[in-house]
Amino acid sequence: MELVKPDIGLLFWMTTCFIILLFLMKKYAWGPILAALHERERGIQEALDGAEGAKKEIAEAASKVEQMLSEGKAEKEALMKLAKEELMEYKNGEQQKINTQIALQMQTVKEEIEQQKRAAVSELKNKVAELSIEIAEKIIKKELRDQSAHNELIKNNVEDLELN
Amino acid sequence: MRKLFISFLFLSTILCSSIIAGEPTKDEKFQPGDMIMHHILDAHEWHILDWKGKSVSIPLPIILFHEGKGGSVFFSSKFNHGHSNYKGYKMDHGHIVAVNADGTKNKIETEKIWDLSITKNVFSLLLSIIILLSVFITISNRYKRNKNIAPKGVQSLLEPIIIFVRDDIAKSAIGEKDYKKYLPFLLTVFFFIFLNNLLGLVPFFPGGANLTGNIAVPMVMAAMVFIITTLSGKKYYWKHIFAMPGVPKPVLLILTPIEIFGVFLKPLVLMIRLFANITAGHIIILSFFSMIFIFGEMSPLAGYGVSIFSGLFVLFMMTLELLVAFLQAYVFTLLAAMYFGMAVEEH
Repeated sequence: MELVKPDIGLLFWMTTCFIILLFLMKKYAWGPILAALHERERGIQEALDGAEGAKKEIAEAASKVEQMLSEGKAEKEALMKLAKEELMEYKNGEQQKINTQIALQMQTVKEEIEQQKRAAVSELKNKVAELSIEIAEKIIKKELRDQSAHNELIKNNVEDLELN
Repeated sequence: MRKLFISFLFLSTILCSSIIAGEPTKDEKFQPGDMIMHHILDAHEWHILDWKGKSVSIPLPIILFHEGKGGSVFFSSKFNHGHSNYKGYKMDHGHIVAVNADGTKNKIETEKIWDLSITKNVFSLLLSIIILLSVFITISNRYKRNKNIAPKGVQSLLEPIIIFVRDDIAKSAIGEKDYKKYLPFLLTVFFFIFLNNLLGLVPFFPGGANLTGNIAVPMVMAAMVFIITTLSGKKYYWKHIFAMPGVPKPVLLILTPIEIFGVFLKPLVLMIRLFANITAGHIIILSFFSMIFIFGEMSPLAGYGVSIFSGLFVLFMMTLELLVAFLQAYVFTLLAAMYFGMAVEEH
């Protein structure tokens, strides 16, 4: 029975001391400790969040770089294509120009040849006429008897020459 | 965790060997019941051992307040272990009684004595408070000095326990909203019980007082839990006691008295659980030691033989008691937190 009978002395001391302990612990121990723990946990959480954010940013930057690279690549390809096309066009144009020029020159040359040919022919004709006249002269000089028969002959000869 | 476990084992080994060294050796027949009760109950002097028929003990201050006579303060050594009278007082079976001129007990005067002595338990209480304050204020200063530095030493041992009490007891039982208000009380109660349970297991001088196993100590704490619960009780809490919603009126006639009874029963159970667990642990350990002397009285050889068995068993019990020391602190705090949680619950 002694065991379950509380002592007034111990009850008194326990109540007093425990209340004092509670007060002192609350003020000097638990307050700062819990505040510091909370502060630290908050710090850790912030650091974690920060790290997460940084990771996201890095990923974003990487994807941006990737995008820029691919864009650059596409641009380069487009440029190359354009350049090729332009080159082709230029080449074609140049070729055409050359061709026209050649054709033009050929034309000129042909015309010149034609002209020369005509000139030569006319000269030849003149020469032939001269020659014919000379021949006729000679013939006339030599044989002035049968003049009409000879004229006929000359005429035929000249015509033959003209056909050439 | 492993370090902790090893130190627990080490501690328990010391505890056992020391208790064996501190057993009383009296000439008369060994009375296990008396010995056990003597160890469990409070005392006005700190008995260390009996040496050659004389008891060696540390005297403790006696503070008496006698109605109509005023107070008196003196050392318990003045009673000469209950053999002498002093200033009209006598030590009678651990209690201070007033005596008549012829040395007989004066019942009427004894009723008027308020014994506020620094007994073994009060001494232990003060000691534990000094330990708690010095340890936790030291730690708290370290927290204040450098907030963002990893814990070190005792700090790193206690920090997980503080966080455990905060997160797994207070926060889970009371709820995110209100737990902060009750946390200082819960932490104080937890560490007070835990430390005193451990001190109670230390068999030599600064420990060994059965403080948490003395009904007065859990009684005060349970009373505080009751007061706090009652004061923080909200509408929802009282409604569930006096008029349980959804229960027909006739049933309420039975239920309400039960609920009201329960309000008082809860702290009462809290008190009895701690008191009984700690006291029982002490009784079991002491009983195993008593067996050595009971058998030793039959024949010394039997005593030696049993001592091996008893020693091993006590080692086992001590280790178990270390677990119980933590467990009871945890259970008390958890239940207190749950009662607070019920009181502040809202819907």
